[in-house]
Amino acid sequence: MKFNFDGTGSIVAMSGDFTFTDHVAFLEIMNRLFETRAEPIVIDLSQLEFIDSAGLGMLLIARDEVGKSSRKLTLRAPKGQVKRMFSVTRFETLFAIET
Amino acid sequence: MVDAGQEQDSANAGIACWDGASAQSLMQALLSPAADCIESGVTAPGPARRNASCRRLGMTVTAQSVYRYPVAKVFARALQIRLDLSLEIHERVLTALQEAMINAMLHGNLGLDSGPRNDLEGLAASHCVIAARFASEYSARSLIRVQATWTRTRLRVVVRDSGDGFSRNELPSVDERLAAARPGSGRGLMILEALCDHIGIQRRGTVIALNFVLPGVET
Repeated sequence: MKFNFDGTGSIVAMSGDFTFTDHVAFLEIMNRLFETRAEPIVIDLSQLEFIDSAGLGMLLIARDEVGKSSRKLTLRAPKGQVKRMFSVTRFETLFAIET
Repeated sequence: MVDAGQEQDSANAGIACWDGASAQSLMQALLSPAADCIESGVTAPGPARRNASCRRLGMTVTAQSVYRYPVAKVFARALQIRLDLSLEIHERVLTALQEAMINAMLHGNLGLDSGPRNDLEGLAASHCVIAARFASEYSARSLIRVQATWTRTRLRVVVRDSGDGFSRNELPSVDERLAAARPGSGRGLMILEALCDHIGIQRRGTVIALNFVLPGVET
């Protein structure tokens, strides 16, 4: 998985595959998000091509960690396999999702 | 009369060796005409039973390679090429195989559970535990086998780990699986059940069979 932050440091776009072994990149994303007080916190998934259950689990960790600072995480524009995985696991009921 | 050397040649026909160096070299090894691909340096298991009406592709890799490389992605791509799978079937096979192979590596070969990965600290710690386990040659070189067989209308992908298995009572209940808000686990089996036309769990969970109905693939 690759990622890019916007200028505010609160919007990050993921691309490629987000799977079990992407924990290092994910931890780096979370560290960067902790550094900013800007809102909203958004993870843009529009360029993410593939996710597995571990990737979904890491998104839940992100939601919970962001929530600890009374902020809210929004997921943006999941597509293709990622969107279908959200549907299979009912993830759309667990997050604020922008289409 | 067939001598021992000829029998060995016959048994080895179509077996490719993967050097364990990269996903690209795995793809090369899995390209036709290989029927089986075995990672370099591991003791090859016995040849798979042959069924004249089926085509097949097998792969035997170490747990460490499953952690290092996107082996499920490469194997699913090799199947897509051989069977000319539709994008929809390929996506289902890839997603299910990814779940099954990570489960085989994590829960089967390494004997770890998902509980600790519920928060950032637990996530980092669990990968430290995995790295520590792979410091042992026994765990790092433990095997995971994948065997795909197919006919014109069906595809079956069987994943075998080298663990001790588990009791059916240890599987998450339907309620636990639907409570997907927990970060660590509970979704893998739900995903397999949703994406496969049928799944079979055998030998105390050390063998999982992913079955797909194909819309008339020409082989």
